[in-house]
Amino acid sequence: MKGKKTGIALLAALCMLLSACGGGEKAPEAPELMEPVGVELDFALVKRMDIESIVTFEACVIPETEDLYFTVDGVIGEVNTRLGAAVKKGDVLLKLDEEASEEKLADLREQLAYYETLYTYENDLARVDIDILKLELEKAVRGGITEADRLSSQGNIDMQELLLKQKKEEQDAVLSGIRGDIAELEKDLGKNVITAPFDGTVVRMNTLYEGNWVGAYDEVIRIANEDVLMVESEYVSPTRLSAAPRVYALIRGGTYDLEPVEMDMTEYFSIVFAGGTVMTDLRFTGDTGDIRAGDYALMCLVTSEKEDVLAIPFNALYVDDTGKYVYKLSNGVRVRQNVRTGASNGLYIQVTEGLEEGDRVYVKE
Amino acid sequence: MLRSNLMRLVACILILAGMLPLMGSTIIDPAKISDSGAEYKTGEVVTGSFTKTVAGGGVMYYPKKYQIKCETYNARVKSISVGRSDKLEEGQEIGVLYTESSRADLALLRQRLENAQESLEEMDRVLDDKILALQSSAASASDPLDSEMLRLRISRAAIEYEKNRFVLEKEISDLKERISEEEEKLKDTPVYSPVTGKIEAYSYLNEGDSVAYGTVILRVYETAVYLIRVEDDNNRWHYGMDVTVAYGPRNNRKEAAGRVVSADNVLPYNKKTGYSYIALDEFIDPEDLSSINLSATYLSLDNVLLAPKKAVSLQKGKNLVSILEGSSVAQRYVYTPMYNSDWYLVLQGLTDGQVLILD
Repeated sequence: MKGKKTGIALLAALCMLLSACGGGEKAPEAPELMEPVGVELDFALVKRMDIESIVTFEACVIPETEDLYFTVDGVIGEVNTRLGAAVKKGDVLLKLDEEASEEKLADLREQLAYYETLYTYENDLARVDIDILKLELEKAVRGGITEADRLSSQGNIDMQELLLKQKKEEQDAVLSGIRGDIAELEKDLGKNVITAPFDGTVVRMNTLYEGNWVGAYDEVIRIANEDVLMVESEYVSPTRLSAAPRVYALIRGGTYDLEPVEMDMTEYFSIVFAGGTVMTDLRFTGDTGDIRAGDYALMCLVTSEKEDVLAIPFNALYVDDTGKYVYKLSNGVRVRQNVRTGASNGLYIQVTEGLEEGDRVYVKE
Repeated sequence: MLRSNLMRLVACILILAGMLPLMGSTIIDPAKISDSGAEYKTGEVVTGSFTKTVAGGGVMYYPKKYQIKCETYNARVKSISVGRSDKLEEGQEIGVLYTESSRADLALLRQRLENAQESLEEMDRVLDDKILALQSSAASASDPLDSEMLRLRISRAAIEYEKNRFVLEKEISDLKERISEEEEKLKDTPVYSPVTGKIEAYSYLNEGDSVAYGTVILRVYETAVYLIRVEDDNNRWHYGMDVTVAYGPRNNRKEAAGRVVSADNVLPYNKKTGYSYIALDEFIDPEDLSSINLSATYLSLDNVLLAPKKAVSLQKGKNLVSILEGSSVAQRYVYTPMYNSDWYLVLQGLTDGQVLILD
């Protein structure tokens, strides 16, 4: 216990000694502190600029497409293309089986020729029979017959004439019917082919086998025409599009103005009711340059634009119960300044009253 | 005890008192304070290309398909020489069908033909006799009316003869045609592959089985024509996009170039498939196209402003950057509609060359 007390006393004495050594010099003054780093205040210049509000939509450059179909029912006879195939304008892509139609047509033509010949023979026979009857009457009259018999024979001749006339009318009806069938078939034969309306690529095709039935107006093939390009974007309502001062797209390294393509409302509602995603199509208003189908497009909808207006950074503006205000730099100090504001794009805001060009305003951190 | 504690307290006070002069002279050294401002990590706003890529696995798709159907009535299988998933060569015999045609019908038709030909000969003979008799009577007729009557009767007989001959010849022609068709039916019908390819679907048929008209016997796809199919649930594989196709075994991967030739983004809503199809620029043997992986740049914008990703932070739902101008820092909102792994695409609020503080 005694040793411990001695230790404490020695430590205290050492401290006193050290203290005495230091005490010989003049105590240093506190160092002068520099300006704190990062507290240089941000004052933005009030300047004139264009304020443009933009909303962007993901989009893509697509080719114009066209669905192709037959205008008559039939059986597939030839399939000359496939999904993904490049086709040239005028290429025969699909053909209905014309063998059956052509066979039927040949049969009808043969039938027509047969009846025309047969009717000629029959009518010639009937004509000779009538001539014979007339001759018999003439002979009878010359030999002397009663007036009643003469009238009876003449009546018979007249009846045969009438029957021949009626028979010819019936024959004409039959022949006319066959000719009508031929004309109908010949008319349809011209519609048995689907040809490419332009150079393009088959982007959709029903699974078609030769011998399978296909209905009129069934859309069996879709072809893309890369010479006519469009932009398809996420859905934007037609009202919003028409209200936009400008619609353009960034594609590759360029900017291209666009205008909306009128939407088919039937298709719109069918997609909506089916729970699908409606897209918006837009066409280029100028030259498309070197862009091509498949290029990405960032569709920009300018929702409002103000040219050459006085503006400040959006985060320079304060709002309280009394209204909007800024802190204007005045003689090196921040002074509250009430302002009136106009258009904003979320980055900058137009100041219509309270500031002048060249003023500086404090921007909060 | 109280005295002992008091001594400890006094000792501590003395120790602290002794250290005070040391503290004042050494802890803050003015010479070591930098006057060059804060050391920020910064990045620059640059003009460049903004890209995004998409990748996926691909599978082979064969768009040219053929159906081999039974095109005869009352057919039965004589033989089938291929099996499920077999490879076929164009023109290769797949099987043979035969027709259960009635030989009695054919015999009847032949008899009718014989009869018709006999009738024609008989008709010629009868007519000749009739005309000869009429001509004989006409020669002896003295009355002009009788003479005229006989002339008319001869004319009538000639017309009737022509008519009957015409009808009979037509009947003979039709009979010959029908006989030819029936004879054709009695022959075996070999069935050939229309294309070099592979069997996709197969009807199990045994020898002697009857096959109805129009029955699909086989479905074959042509192996020389193919596309590569990729799932496209997120609508990223757009029509026209260039695609890089990697394929082959792990120790010998190869790459080929291709292009999307069909995709949902060019199809009407009710025809969308959820797939995109890629055609290769150059033909590669489909046997080599194993383990297919596809990659493509689906988004590429050039000459656009880019801000380092770490320079942009979110504040009140808007993107904010800190712009370093000399020793001052200006915080400004910016419009950056999208980003990738390195950059934000900047549409408004910054200019090329501005220095941004990285987070």
